[in-house]
Amino acid sequence: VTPQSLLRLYPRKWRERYGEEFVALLEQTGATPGQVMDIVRAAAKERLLPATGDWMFGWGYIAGTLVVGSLIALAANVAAFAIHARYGHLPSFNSTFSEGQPVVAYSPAIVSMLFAIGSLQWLVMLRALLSGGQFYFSARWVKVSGIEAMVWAAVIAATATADQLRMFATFGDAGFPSYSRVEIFEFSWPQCITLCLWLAMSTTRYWDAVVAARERAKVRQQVPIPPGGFLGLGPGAGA
Amino acid sequence: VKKSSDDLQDLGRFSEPALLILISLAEGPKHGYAMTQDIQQVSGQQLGPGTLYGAITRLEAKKWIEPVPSNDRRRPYKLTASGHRVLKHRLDSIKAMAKIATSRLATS
Repeated sequence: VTPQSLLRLYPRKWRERYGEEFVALLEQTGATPGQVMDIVRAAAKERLLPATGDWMFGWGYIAGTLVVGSLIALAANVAAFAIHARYGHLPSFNSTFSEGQPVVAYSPAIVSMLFAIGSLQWLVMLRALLSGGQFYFSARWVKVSGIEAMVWAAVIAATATADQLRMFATFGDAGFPSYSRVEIFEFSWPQCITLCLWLAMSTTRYWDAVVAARERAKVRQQVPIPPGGFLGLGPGAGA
Repeated sequence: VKKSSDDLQDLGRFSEPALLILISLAEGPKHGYAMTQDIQQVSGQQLGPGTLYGAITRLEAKKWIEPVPSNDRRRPYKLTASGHRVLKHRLDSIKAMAKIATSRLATS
């Protein structure tokens, strides 16, 4: 592995700023397997969470999130259909209602839109995990959680089965579903997997948030705050 | 709880390497390789190149360190005034925690 090939793992802006000195360092230290892993991890983080620039609205970030997020979403869907094919009916990509088969998508445009929105959400969640808890309990975190919930709900809607769609289409005529229609609300395998992923990720994030908040509270209790705060920037600074 | 933007903890996984870099640069300007050597001597930790430059990138973005003009490809860095202040306060908070921990150990 050459220093130049390792440098290419980083975003272009980073390479332009730090490339020369980074290569000089690698030429001096060599690249052991452990160091290569360290660089791969740091470069991935630099692509996901650039230290400079407005990462959230940068085209590079959005392009990266779409690629990575689409791959994750695609893998999740392949897994969902593999399980569905094993345990249930054959999956179908038809947008027409057909008995006993799941309607996977309404149209390619809607699928593309879901992939795009879902991809961003996946990467926002990755960012939250990588940022080590700084993201939690902020207004942005709450907004992201809300948007994420809507995206997951959209994914479930997009994978609605023919029976479920028919039920919604005739909702006004039939009124509230009777007990004989309870089976209509049974989830398909893609929906089950979506729900499980949603539940697992939400639970993990909320658990992390609670742990991070408790840790912060402990530190506040244990460490006496000097005048002006630890950074000397608050009220009482210089006292 | 809103945190100050002048907090080493904002650097996430890079907060500890960033602290080590600030401590290393407190002695004077150094380039990347010299920093890794110094940090290993001081703390016994060997920072990988990715971790080192991840922390340098973030420290420079925070304006806590800045490059020193040089003809060498290995660009040296030095502490800025705000970097000096952040390091001092971080060390103060560590001292406060160490004091509490020591007193608790003595009474346990």
